[in-house]
Amino acid sequence: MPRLYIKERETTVLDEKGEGAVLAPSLYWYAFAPLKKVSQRRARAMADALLKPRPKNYRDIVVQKREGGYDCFAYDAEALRRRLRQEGLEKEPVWFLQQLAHCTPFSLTNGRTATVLNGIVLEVPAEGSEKALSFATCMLPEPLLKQKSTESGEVLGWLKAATVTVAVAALLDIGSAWQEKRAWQARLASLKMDKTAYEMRAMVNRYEKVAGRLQAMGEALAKALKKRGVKHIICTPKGCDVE
Amino acid sequence: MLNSARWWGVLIAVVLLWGASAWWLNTSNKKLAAETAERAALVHRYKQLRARYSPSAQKVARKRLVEYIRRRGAEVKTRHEGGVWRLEALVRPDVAEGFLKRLFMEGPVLKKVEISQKKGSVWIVLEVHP
Repeated sequence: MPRLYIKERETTVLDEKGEGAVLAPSLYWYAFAPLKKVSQRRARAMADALLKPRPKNYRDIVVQKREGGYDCFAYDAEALRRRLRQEGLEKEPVWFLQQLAHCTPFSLTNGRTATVLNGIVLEVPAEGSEKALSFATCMLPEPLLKQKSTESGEVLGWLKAATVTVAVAALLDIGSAWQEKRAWQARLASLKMDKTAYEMRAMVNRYEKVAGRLQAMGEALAKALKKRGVKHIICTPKGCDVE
Repeated sequence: MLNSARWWGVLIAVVLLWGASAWWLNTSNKKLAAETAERAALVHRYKQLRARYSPSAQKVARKRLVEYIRRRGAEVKTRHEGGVWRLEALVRPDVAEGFLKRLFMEGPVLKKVEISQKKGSVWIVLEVHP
């Protein structure tokens, strides 16, 4: 697979033996944000503000830290994906031309060259003998698509695995607790009698009162029988009369 | 396809859901366990007391008491008057002793007990709730 230079409606070969692609400036918008180290979210918000006048379909934003600030790119991810699919470059690394700014000027096609003007890399007509872009000698930054698919892909993988593991553990735990609940409910249902709990409590109280009275009477009678010379005993729940 | 921020959201939601469900189920199971234990104790006590003090158990207890005295060769008179069941028996002192022990262990619910010594015998009169 050769390394390609992709424009909106045209593709040319940069290197026969390479791989991946370089995107022409017409496929993205670029700005440099001179920020100290900030969070990705904040950098993206800043990039969004800096690139405000861009076309409406350039909704996707990428920020890359470099010395002195952040490189901010805005592009239409859906259109770009379609374009790359057409070229068979779905899994190959892709760079914005701006990312190769430190390698300029270099020849892009016959008669066109890439050069930096006011910090922005542009295609301009070739004037003389610009060198061919050598990916072997030019220090390449992280590619646009490759970077996404490796770093966040790994994190995403871990997250998915963690989520699935936690979900399975949660299901097992909740399942066992639910079974326990059902077992308790069944046990409680098996204890039901012909009477309600309220009625049973009332009956138990009543029976216990009777049992208490009977016990007291038994104790009083036993005490009375121990006395000597007893001829006649009359016992009621209130006590015993001894003669 | 979800991005990593959304996966974090899903993970946190799953953990929160797990925690909330586990807490609810745990609380509910504890309540059920306490309620079951309380109900089991009540049912046990109810059955125990009913076996001794229910009207049918009282009837059986009365019959057994009469049989106990008759088996020991004494004469027993029983009658039912004014909502009270009355038992009169003239027994030997040794029979009277066993009878009185048994009376409060498994006998019927008594309203009145009358005991008199008469020429080497014991005269027992019981008034029992019908």
